[in-house]
Amino acid sequence: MKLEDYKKRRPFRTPEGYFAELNRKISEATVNAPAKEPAAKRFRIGVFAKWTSIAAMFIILCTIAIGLFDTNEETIPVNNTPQPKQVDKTANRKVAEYEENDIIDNIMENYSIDEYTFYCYLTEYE
Amino acid sequence: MTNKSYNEEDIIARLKDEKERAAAFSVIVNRYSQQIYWHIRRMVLSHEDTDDLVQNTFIKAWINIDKFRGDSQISTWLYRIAINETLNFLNKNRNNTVSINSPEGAIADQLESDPFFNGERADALFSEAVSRLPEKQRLAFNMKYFENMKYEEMSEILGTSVGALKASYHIAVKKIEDYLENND
Repeated sequence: MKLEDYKKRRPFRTPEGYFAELNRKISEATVNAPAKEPAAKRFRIGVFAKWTSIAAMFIILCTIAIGLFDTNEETIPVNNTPQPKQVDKTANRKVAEYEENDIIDNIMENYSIDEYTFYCYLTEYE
Repeated sequence: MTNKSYNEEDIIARLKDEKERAAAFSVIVNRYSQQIYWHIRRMVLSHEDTDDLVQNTFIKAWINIDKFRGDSQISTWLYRIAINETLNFLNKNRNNTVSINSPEGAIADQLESDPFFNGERADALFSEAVSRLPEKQRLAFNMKYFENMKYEEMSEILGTSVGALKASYHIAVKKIEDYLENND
């Protein structure tokens, strides 16, 4: 038999009336599984909301940056004389250890901003 | 909403309307369930497993209808879900089912004892030859040979270049011919 001949043969079969039953079962299952809102119906942020979210993002990023750099606890010297400020040589290394994705994940987990709005901000998408 | 009365654009528009969504999805199920069934069946061979996978495919499509933006065709989107479901299933069951590592003829033997297989030994050996292909080659072969799909459409579904798919198909044909020749 040539290779082309096999496709004309139909060795596999299904139970009698299977496809009608399959469609019924799927319809029944989808009734119990509510669909999410389609993409086109999603709320689109307006200009005001966009700039508000940009401002919020700026504050959040500043807060995170300060938190990352300001890792040394301040101590009061025993004799209360001003001490020369210690340069934290590890600070730059610590910041470098944070991958961009870590920062994004941290924002997504800790701040009430949805993924769509956040990526709108990052990509400047209106 | 009857099956024949709506084209692709109508269905997509109705999917976005909350009141018509369920009816539009029902049209999709009626229109594509057989195509998706046979696509999965050629990959997993067993009717029972295919039955589960087809249902999972459509339920996932329904639950994630929000991710369908109408950028691709409905069939492309369904195929992607079906292929993911199928490949996950095959990976999970690699050790439990007759596989490419089984002795030659084992898949054909199993098929011949399947109540939903009524082909001859040659058909069973042909199915075995296809089943022994690596997954991507098997997908490329099935989509081209049985479903007569265009390479561009296959490329969109599988995320593989047209050139790579053409190569996969021709390698698959050669392997199947060799297998059938050696197991005549």
